[in-house]
Amino acid sequence: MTPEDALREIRNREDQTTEAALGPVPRWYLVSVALLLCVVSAVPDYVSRSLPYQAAGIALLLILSVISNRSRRARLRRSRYTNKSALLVLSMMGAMITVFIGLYVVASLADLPYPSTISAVAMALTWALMTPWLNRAMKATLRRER
Amino acid sequence: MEEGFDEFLHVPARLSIVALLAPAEWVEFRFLRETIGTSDSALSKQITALENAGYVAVRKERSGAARRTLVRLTDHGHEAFAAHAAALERIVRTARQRP
Repeated sequence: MTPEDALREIRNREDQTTEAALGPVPRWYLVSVALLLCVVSAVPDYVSRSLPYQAAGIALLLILSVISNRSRRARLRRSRYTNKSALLVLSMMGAMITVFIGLYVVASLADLPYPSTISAVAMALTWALMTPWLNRAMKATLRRER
Repeated sequence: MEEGFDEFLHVPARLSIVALLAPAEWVEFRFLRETIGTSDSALSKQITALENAGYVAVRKERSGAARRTLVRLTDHGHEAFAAHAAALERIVRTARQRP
């Protein structure tokens, strides 16, 4: 194997591992997390003491995340993630929080019924729409910065 | 021979395995087998050779009802692989600079 072929082989193989570790997010995970986000954020509209329900929802979210991680065929080293990849995650979280708070404020000011539910649904949709984007962007960033 | 060049790692089957392991904390044995397109026994043979050289570590874990085998590169393996890749880069760069 020539040195050039070896380097090409190394890059291709590294890409395959990145693809396996950050492969498409399973649909069941996208839907379950979106539903749980809705429930956790919308519950104050329906129950006066919402904290226990929200705690249970967050615990379920953590369990789902563990199950999803375990179903992966490879896990990337932490050192592979750069500041740029952290920025991508933060920007998605920022978008979700902005959508939730923004819509909640608007719905409350407009005196709409169920302001938490409206903003929770919008936040869950933001999650479902942005997660595939985050995945693609993360892979592209890791490929560029290796 | 270029400094850092590792003849043991340069064997195509081993280089493929180590390159797949390099960016990962761990990978599944099954993933290695399917990605490289080899048999269980051929892959086991290479993994054992790499394990004996101290380049990889293998552990088994229970995942629900099934068991899975996870493979990772050791610190020594990472160092050897990084040195080997750097040596390859230097060789290619030198070859390109030659008139």
